[in-house]
Amino acid sequence: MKQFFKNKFFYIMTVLALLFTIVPTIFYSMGLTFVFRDAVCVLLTPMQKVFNYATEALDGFAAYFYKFDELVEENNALRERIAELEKQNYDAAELEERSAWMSSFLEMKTQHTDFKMLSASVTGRESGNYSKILTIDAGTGAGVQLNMPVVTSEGIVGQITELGYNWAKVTTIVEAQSAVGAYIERTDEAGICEGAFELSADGLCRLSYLPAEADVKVGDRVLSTGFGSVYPRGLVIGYVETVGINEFTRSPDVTVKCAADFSELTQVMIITDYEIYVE
Amino acid sequence: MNNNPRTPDRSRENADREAPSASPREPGSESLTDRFREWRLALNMDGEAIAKGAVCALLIVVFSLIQTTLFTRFRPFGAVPDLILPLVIAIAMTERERWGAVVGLIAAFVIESLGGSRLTLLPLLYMPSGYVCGLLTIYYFRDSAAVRALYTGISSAVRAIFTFTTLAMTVGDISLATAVIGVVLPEFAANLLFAVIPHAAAYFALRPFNKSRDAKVQ
Repeated sequence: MKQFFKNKFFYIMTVLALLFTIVPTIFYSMGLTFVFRDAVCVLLTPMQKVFNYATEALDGFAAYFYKFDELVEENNALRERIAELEKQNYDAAELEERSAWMSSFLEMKTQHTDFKMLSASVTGRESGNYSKILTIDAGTGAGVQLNMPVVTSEGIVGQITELGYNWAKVTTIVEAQSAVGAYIERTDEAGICEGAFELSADGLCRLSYLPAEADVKVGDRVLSTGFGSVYPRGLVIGYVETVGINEFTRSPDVTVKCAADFSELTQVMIITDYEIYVE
Repeated sequence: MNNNPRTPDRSRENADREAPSASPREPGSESLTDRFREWRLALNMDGEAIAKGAVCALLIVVFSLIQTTLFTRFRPFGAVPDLILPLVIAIAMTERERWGAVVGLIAAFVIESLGGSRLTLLPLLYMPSGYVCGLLTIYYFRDSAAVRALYTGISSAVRAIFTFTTLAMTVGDISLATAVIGVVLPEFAANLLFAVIPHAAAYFALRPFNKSRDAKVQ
């Protein structure tokens, strides 16, 4: 066997092997690139890139098989994470909305420093088509009492007419049998804003008992007088929509468009305490 | 397995090396084609040998690329298997010691270049492996699946020693247990498991040349 390692070919190959071992290592340690190594890399790197793309594609496909359990686990974890993030996102959006809504009350709070308010969400509406009663998610447990006024930043909504521990019914001011002492801001002429069945569907109420000579114009702002111990003085009821003359009493027949949009209500404020206005 | 030395079967190799003698020419009057022809004759390379060389080169490139792309991502047992060493052995067993040595040297250089290791040691493993396996196939053990498995096992064990040496020389502060359990053994197992691929590829790729060579001998 010895003679097989004592021939010219083997010697040459051994010398070459040593050269290809020592030279690249020395070059590497010196920070240089061995020219043959460079040539191999220049030639094969593009092919390596192609192979790498193919491998990535293959890996992605093969992952369905050899990483199935891992993928299922990861998928479940991601689903949970998405649900969590969606909830966070939803909460953030809700908080933002709530913050904007609360900010809208700042003006009211500035004007009426005596108001103590409690927020509530509208959870339901009367199922029939014949009344405008809302259900809110605050009740006696939160300190809500009967006849407390309910408002939005735009104006009066109504008053609490029925309540339980964690709920309350709000009868809106457009509901028949509802009445609010009101006055026209521009002229200070007072009357009573009453709900009327035929007007309630349009969010309107009737302003009655105005003096016969009352100066009323369309667009006049109508505020609460504060008489009657339900609504504080100065809350916006709405704006004069139409002005006419009652054929029988000859007094002005005025309809008021309520400031609060009852069909869009989602959040309301309950005024739990305020200073009663005394003239 | 027959451990007794047998008469060297050189007849098939000699068939490869049969080539017409070069005709003398005036110095300076040779064209590039003539020079190429002279080099070919000097190296005993006929058309078939050139084609075989091209096939071997292709095998080296393909398996180097597979090793450095596919198996660096999908690491069986946590290690990249050495596909080139079994390829060199397969070629050496089919084409004998000279092809084994040359292919081993080139393949080692290619894989070291693509792999980018700091220490280049593989030419000292692949070249002798190719040479020795070629000789053993001629003089001691006939080419069979069992012999291929034996050579692959032994060469993989030697490869493990090389890996351990490279680790010790390049990484330095690595414990023996970490080196053996974390690197050497997984690599050894992966080498054995995937050696069948280059063996099969070399066998089928070089089979047409073996067939024509057998026909020449007959």
